[in-house]
Amino acid sequence: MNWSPLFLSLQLSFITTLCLLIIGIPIAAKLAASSARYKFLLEAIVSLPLVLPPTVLGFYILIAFSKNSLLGGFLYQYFDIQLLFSFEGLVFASILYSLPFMVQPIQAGLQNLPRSLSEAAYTMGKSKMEVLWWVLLPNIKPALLTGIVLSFAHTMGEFGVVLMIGGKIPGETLVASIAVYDEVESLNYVQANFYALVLLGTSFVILGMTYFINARLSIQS
Amino acid sequence: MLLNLKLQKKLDRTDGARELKVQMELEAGDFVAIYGPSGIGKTTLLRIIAGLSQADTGFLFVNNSCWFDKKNKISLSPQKRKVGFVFQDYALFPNMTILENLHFAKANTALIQQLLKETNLEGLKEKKPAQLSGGQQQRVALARALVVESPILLLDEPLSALDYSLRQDMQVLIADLHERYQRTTLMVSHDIPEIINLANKLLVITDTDTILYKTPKAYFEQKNLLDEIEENGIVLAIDHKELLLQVGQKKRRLPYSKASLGTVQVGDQVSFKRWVIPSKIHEIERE
Repeated sequence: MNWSPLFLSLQLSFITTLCLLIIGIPIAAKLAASSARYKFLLEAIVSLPLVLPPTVLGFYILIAFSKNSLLGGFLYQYFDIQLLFSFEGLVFASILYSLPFMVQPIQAGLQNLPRSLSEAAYTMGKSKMEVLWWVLLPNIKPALLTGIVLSFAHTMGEFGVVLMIGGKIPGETLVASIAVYDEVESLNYVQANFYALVLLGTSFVILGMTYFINARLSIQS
Repeated sequence: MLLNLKLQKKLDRTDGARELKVQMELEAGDFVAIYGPSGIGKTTLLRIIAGLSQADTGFLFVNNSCWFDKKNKISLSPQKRKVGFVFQDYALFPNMTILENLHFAKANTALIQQLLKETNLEGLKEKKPAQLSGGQQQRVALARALVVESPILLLDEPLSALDYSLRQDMQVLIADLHERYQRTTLMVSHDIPEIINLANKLLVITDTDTILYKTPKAYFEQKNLLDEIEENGIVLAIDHKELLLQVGQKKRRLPYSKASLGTVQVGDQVSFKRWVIPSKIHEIERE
């Protein structure tokens, strides 16, 4: 059995989730606190991957980062970065594709906290960063967990975007979800079933654990 | 003069817009009750002083330092003003223990220990807010606001969620803490006995104007919202928060603030004032 696509999927999901935590928390905090008139535009942009066919996102990434494009050419010429058909490219696309799965639960969690919590901390002289870190985030653990798990699981199951910009390079961009498709195409059902079963089991265990932990957290609070 | 303010802010309410206009000067140690109908801007005034809301025009000076001056475009952030604020919902941080809540406000261990003792919270300091009763949470919120060590303490209907007997206990505690720490206090309240017991000044906000009364009693008596009764009794016993008095044929328990007890001892004849709210409906019998 070839485990490489599974390891690659896990690696991609782990790195993407970590990056999304770092990027998603400030975006969610900004959206939750903002009452700006044009906030809806940023919300719509963040949520686009929820409704957009993955191939559309993949197509535009393909266009934007090809060596012949302005952006892709610039990155290649000056920084020797080529995102297409590389693992780094998959990470970049996954971050875009799973962004709403991290931002939305955290934003909802923050919006559900009473405003007086952060206001009380401000009157104690605490900065916005201190309030976010010490007061707000510790009180939305279930939302954080949901964001982490959904982003991780969603990246594990990603197909369309990866297919468009990954190119099925073994050990580099051939992740498990693509490998299932690839093996079926080659009529190698045993290997396809192996990948499919592992993906099914992993997804079920991750979601089961999330619901279990969230139930425990809600009992505690 | 500790606090000098003249503020104006337009309020958008469901029944139309109105303007909140307040001008007042307060001395250090004043305890001002803010009284008026719901939605009139009482909480907004506290929020403006704390820096959590912005006034449209005016100024606010505390200890001669400028916190807000619209003309000169000065507006200190809530972080720089650092007032003690007790929110209506207490706003205790659920993830922290009681001790951590106080420590987060300001890491002054000596003051925290002293306040835990004074508010009778020593035995609960390792518990989380959700494990406490409403009255205990209220005491934590009060202690936490005092840890901040601001010259100004703002209380937004602090006792509104408590039952009658807890309210009485809390009033005595607030009076004692005020006596000890002498913070200039502004308290939003709808409760006339509470105001009479605690405040030395009264700010009344109505739709037409805002007036600062030098004594709350004067306003309530003038509006026929209060009658004063003077009674005499003999002290039968004194415990840490109540006197037991023989008043005529009845025995009466009288909560007291430590400052007002003075040298009173068991056996003394004392006089005390009670304020009663006139009833709206009277039973009248023809003799």
